[in-house]
Amino acid sequence: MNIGVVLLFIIGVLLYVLGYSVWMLKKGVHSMRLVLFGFAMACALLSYTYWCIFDLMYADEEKALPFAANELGEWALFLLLGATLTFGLAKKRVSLFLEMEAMLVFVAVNVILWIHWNGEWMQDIVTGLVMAYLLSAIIRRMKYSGKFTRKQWILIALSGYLAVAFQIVAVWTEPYIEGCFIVEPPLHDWAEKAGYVYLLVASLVYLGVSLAELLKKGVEERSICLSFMSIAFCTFSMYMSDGIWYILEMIGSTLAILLMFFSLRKEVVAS
Amino acid sequence: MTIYAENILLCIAIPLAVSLMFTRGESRRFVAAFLIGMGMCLLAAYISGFISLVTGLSEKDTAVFLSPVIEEVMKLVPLMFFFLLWDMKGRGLTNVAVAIGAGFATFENCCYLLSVGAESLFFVLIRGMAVGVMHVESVLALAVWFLIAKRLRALSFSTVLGGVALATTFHAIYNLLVSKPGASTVLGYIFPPVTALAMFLLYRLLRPQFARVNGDGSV
Repeated sequence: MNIGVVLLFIIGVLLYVLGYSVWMLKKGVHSMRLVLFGFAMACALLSYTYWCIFDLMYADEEKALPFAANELGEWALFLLLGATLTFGLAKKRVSLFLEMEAMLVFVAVNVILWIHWNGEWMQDIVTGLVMAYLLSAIIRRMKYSGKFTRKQWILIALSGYLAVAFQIVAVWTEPYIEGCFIVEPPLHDWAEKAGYVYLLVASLVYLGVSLAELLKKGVEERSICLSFMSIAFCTFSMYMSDGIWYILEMIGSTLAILLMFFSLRKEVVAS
Repeated sequence: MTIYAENILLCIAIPLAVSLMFTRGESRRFVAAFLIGMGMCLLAAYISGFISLVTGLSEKDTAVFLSPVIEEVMKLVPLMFFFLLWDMKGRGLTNVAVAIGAGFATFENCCYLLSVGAESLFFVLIRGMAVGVMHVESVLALAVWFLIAKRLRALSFSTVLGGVALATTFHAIYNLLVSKPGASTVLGYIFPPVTALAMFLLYRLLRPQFARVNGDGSV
């Protein structure tokens, strides 16, 4: 599968979402959350357009994209998604300690894995901070809503930690050089493939559950929280995947954008 | 060809600095912001050169990939200064933003034309139009976004970074398109005026809606 085609698909989806948001605002729907969400989509649109143009212009040179403006666009996207979720959210006296601790450990392990894979210390740490902000916004909104049971919280945490566990096993069993031979431990290939399959299945489950909540009536809060959790999970999965698995996760995160938008629309219309 | 950017800046800046003594009010602020824009352009060039040396990136790669980030951040600094410290509002802030962008573009164009030559009038016009519109547009859009976000009480780190990211990516797309000769360069030169028109239309379309929204985001 060509990444250029996927990028064009994402750009198409983002244009649709952005156009629809502008149309809703023009029609008199007054929601600052919609403005912030539209702004986040504009950041994503320019970021993916940049990547698409780079891919078209430098495809023959096989040049890797260095740190560039599109990364700033990605960070802004996640920060603005966090701001969309928490804008106007009244503070409540709810303990978030356990959830926040678990989230911070999850993000920290991810950052270590990213640094191990690509060695881009600075970018990986900043991306980790940005993702931690998004996840903290999602957790806050979920806790304040009070619509999630203890069992569901445990399942969400388990889904993240299981993804990380597969990757840690894959990293621990990475091939190494002994003498002049490359030794490929038998467990490595299995752990890596199982990890990719797990990530994809878990992403699909997140997307499916979000869609089911979106189609139900009167559960706007759950729908919004789950759709934002879907994009966070798909993004982490994308960063943990490689090759075709990366592209599939990218498509998953694009579908999550649509789910987020329609959940937000449902909330705005309901209010 | 080696150019002495500091000398060029001095040569252009001195008449403008002298004019500050004979102007008052809005005109004086515009000229001052124009001078600041030119100064920021020189600082951005210094920082780009330094990062190019440190990272080992080629001059072209630095111009295409890193310069947009540095230049937009450098334009943001005086804009934030005017916006937050002097609490400028409405037309005052947009005028300052336009002046910063125009100053930045003017100095960049001067240095560029001195290094590559200005024989072709057509090229000079195209270059002036594209770079001028691009720098003015990015900083003006940023100022408008700050004003909207402040009015709707949504001014935060996320919204500021969002604005900078949008301006930076827009700038980076232009730099990327003009980095190779051919059809992409033509597209690059068309890109800023077309997006400026689209943004203007969008602003006209949504302005009445924003005007009806209260400070807390409600209708």
